[in-house]
Amino acid sequence: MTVARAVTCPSCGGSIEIRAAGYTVTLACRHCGSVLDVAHEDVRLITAYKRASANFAIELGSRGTLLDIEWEAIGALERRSPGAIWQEYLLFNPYAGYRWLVLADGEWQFGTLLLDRPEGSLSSVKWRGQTYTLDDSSEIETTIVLGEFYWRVARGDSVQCKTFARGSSYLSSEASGTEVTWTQLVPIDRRDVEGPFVVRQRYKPRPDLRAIREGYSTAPGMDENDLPMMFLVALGALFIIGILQNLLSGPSQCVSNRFDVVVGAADTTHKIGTIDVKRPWQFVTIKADTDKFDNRWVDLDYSLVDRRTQQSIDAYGIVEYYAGTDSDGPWTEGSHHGETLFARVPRGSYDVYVDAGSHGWPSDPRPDTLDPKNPWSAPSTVSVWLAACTGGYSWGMFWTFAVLLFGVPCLILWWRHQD
Amino acid sequence: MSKRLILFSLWSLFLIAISGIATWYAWSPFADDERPTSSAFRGPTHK
Repeated sequence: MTVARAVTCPSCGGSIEIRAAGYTVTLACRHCGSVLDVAHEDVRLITAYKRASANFAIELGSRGTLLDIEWEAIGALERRSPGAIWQEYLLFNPYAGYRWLVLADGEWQFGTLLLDRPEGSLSSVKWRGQTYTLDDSSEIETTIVLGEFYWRVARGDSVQCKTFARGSSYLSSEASGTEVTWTQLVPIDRRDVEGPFVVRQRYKPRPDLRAIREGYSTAPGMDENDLPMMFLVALGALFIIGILQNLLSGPSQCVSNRFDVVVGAADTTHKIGTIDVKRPWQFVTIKADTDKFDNRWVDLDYSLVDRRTQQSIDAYGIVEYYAGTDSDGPWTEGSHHGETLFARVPRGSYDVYVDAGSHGWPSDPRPDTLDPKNPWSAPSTVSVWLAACTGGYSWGMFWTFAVLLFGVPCLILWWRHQD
Repeated sequence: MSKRLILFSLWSLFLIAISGIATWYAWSPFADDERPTSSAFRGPTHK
């Protein structure tokens, strides 16, 4: 037999009934959707805290000194009225008690609960000899609750609020049922809050364009206004490098061939053709393309055999493509194209050979496996097109030079504006 | 022309020269002719 038990959601304060107490470990709050760990007596909040705390400017638990007293932010509320939304932070000091920090439209106010109630009428009140006039009257609702409070508070609570103003100081009254509380709110400089408390960056006011321009002109090294010229020099140098690579890598000559490779069979040797390296040294590029296949790879062992000395230069290429479906959905890996670069190939005439073999993943197809719909079908093959060319160049080198050229002005730019 | 710009221009000239020499001798650290030949079993590596 199970016993029902009620717990209070630490996120919104709502009451939740656990119907299978003793069995239930996690429970979603039906009021705010927070996931709770109810296996512990103190009902831990699992997922909602981080999500909710990201909505607030001040991190709960952070401490700061305001008006010569060190306060700790222990609670936070997000509240809204028909025309505004703002945040309120409950500050605590064991000797001074509780205070409020209110953030609305980027402006901060410091709030103190009044023990002596103002006197007055509907349109104005008098407090400690000073008159405050009615500024706003509306119903406000609590939308997010985080942390701890000295009274019972829950998401969705509504109170009737009246605000009375005198210059930049305000008196705020909140009425809920028969209870009325008064709070004095005085403006406080944002730097006085952002200094001592940890305020999230997105809640800090953004610097205006003029400040950015001034920051740019006063950044270190700006007396040498050579950065645009450095970018131009880098661009020009990269252009020259491209031209040089193009001029010095030629002339180009290509041969090509096409053949089929049986999947799972022994490697076969094919001749692609004969190429002539006409400069003292040249790059040779071999491009491989295949027909469409899944879950196979084609090993390509290339050899450039010097026709005069019979010495060979070897390189390895591969074309592989895999596809499947797992818990994350369909996936693919690899491509049906491969490129292999030979460097420092000396002048001479070369026969280009390739030892090609294809295999299946996770295993080769069995040779005796026949398609039941077509028992006379041929074994599975992969068609491979190969093209070997002299006169190519290394794109890896080109992009390395691009990084070395543009890296310098980019580093200077970062150094100037790292703050 | 600042001293820094002169130094950077010299750096650019040095890289152009290196690029020209590397292309003339067809040298690249990204070549595939020093990679091991095929022998190992292969398969998808993203999982």
